[in-house]
Amino acid sequence: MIKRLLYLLTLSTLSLAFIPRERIILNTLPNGLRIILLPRNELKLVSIQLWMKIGSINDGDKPGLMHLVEHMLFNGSSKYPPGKIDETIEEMGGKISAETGQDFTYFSVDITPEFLPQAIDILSDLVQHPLFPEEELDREKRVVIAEIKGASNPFQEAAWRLTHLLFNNHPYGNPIPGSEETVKRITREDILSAWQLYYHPDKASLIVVGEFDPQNVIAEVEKAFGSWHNASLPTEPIQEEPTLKRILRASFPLKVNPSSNEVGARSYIALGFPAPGIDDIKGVIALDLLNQLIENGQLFENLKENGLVSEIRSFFLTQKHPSVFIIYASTWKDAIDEVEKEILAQLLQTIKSLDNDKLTKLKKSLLFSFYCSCETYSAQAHMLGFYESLADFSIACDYPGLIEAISLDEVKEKLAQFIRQDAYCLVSLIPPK
Amino acid sequence: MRKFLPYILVIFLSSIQAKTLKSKLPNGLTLLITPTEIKQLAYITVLIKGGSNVENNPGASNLLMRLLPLGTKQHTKDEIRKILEDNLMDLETQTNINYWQMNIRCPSYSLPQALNLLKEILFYPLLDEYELEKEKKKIIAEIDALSIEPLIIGYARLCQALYGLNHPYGRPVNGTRESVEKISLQEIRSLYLAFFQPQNIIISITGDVEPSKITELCSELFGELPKGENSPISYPFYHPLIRSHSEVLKLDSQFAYILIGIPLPGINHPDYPVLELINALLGKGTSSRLAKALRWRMGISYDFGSLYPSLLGKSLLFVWATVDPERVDEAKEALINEIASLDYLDAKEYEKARNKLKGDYLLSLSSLKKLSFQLAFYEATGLGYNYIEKFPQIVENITLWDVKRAVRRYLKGNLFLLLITPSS
Repeated sequence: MIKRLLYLLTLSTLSLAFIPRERIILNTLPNGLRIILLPRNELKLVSIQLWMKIGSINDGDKPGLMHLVEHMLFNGSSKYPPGKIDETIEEMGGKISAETGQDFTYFSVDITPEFLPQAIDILSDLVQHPLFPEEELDREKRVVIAEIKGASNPFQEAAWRLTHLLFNNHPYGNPIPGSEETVKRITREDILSAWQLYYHPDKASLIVVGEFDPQNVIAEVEKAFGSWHNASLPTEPIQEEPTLKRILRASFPLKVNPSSNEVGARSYIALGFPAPGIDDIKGVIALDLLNQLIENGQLFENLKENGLVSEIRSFFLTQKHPSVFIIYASTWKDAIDEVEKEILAQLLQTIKSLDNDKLTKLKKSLLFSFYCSCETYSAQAHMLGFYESLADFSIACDYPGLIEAISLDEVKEKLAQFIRQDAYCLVSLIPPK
Repeated sequence: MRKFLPYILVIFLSSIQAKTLKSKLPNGLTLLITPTEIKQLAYITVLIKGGSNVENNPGASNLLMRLLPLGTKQHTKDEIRKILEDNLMDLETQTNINYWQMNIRCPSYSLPQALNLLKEILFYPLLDEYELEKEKKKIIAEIDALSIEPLIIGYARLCQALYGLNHPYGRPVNGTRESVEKISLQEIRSLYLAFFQPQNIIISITGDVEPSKITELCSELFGELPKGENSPISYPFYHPLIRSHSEVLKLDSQFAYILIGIPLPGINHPDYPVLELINALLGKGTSSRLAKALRWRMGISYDFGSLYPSLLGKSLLFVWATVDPERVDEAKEALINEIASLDYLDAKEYEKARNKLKGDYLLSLSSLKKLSFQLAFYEATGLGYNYIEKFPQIVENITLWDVKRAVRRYLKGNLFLLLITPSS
């Protein structure tokens, strides 16, 4: 009992807000741009991130389009010729990066506070006045195609095959960077139209975390982004994928050769279960807890010990729309049926046997992972921007409290809803003989 | 407990808005405790002076560090793993040329358990034969896996050429297949006894910590250990390059690789910050001289850079580029020209390089891991932990003249050039 009480005490200490909501200053410009500021003064640093509520989900019939738009935005703007954007930030001692996801695209600068106005100006020029030079497009396509080829590994291949099968109509079925064929077909006109259609201030949020004076930053943002014209047009709503109600199995030849010495003999499998989108936050937390359990290595240990799998992991990313919870493993062709059965049996047994003690431990572990992923200003800005793009930044502040609040019954109910033995998808990649 | 009372020094670090509390226990162990505003997390870095520099047989130091967490007098390997899991701790170990390193990341409430475990691992390890043989096999597999990477093969050859085979800096930290195979348990234990002494150890703790409580706990845990004998650490003589020379190595690879090595002074030399600045100017990031020449002007390489390892004694400047085999001559000439023309520098470019170095440095300190390491590292090198605060100021005070002088003193002399070309 005392041990239990101690656990509960430490848990409530841990759940003190890491991203303090009361310190966040919120402002919205007349053109719709949301400004989310978190002043902190422990380090002489600041992270500025511009998050767009657009991503590969907006690719339409040109997979890889929004990712290529993001790349091309670095290739020159009205004030900064090609190559000068990265260079200017670097020469001020900062770092600039960008990423395209399925539901979001963001541009991030980490820099010392004295250069904050210049960093805001660069981000503003980059999204508002890009040049998209034709001569850089071919070079950038080559870079993206090299990225696509370089990033391929069997687990990723299996995961993409799986999402492609699960999402027949929904754009989550397409890979974010597209494929070599689709990228080659994208023209400058496609890039320009996508930018004109989607890059508008009502789809953007500017997050600033670090040492700065909020009033000054708001004035700088108004100066840089105030004239960003909001000509956003209504876009077609995305049709949700019907919920999977049966078992789907598919097998493909293993294409990619990982660098491991043991390649050749191994098969790779990915099991995908339908998962909730951000609207079902309790469902999301329940699957985050399950993901944590698997990532901690506390499940499927016997599969490794028996030599049935050499690696087994899980992947779950919170998304705007209902998505997929993936378990992937490297195994042997003859063992696939047994591994599939074992994974299902262990998952169901784990859900059934989950009790308050186990849940409390799991909650602590998930909270710690969350805190570790919020360590730097850049990571905190990322967390705020990520949830803002999906729904609302405040989820980043509330996440620890949400973990604490979910009950055992709720977790079990949600897991039983999504992890079912009669509704999942299995993809296997078999090496050629 | 009073007899283990340490002497305490507190320094305010303004660039990271934190106070570091330094204490030295009577047995010589150094503690650096830095509370930060980052909540819930704590990070421990332990540095033990020595590393691969003090080993006789290449790879022995690395093997010793790998064995440490695999069993102690009180706990088996599995029990240690269970303690780590139950307390949400991550433990990693590493061997470098000048020191051994151990890191633990944990929730701040697990810090007492982490320090207890650390004491056991550091001072009561089993170091047994069974684990030694198992670990040797793993290390040999890792060496084999790396032995196909052209840049790794090239860097090893370059260090051999610059330092000589008899110098520990000229040998790979992991050792070679042959050297690892013949390491004995006795050798591992002798190395442990000689260097794992309190006076060789710096423990740096950062994060959500209460300095006085943690100092008291550390004094209690580590203070009871005897001082032990101090094994002197020397930095063997290093023959200067008497002439420039080059070599060609044929490997089964798609690309060609150009590697250049130039001897430079180490971290304790007064020119160290100026050389860091020159390294940033030459090869760091997309605004560097190499990027401007190889990527933007000539379009012949997207994988290049320069490295100036922070070593005690003598260090080196390592410059590399991956290129299309057909354009290797152009690229080689460009690399040599960029190094030779570093003293042609105006005030604007110098100012930008200085900003880049300072910004990079401050950005790196935003993670607890790097902050914790950097404090311990400066303390271990003799520069003192508060060098973390001095460094940006020293960089600020570097003049254009300092840069030109250092380029002419160190970069106009002899160099070693290695070309790796496809065997076909």
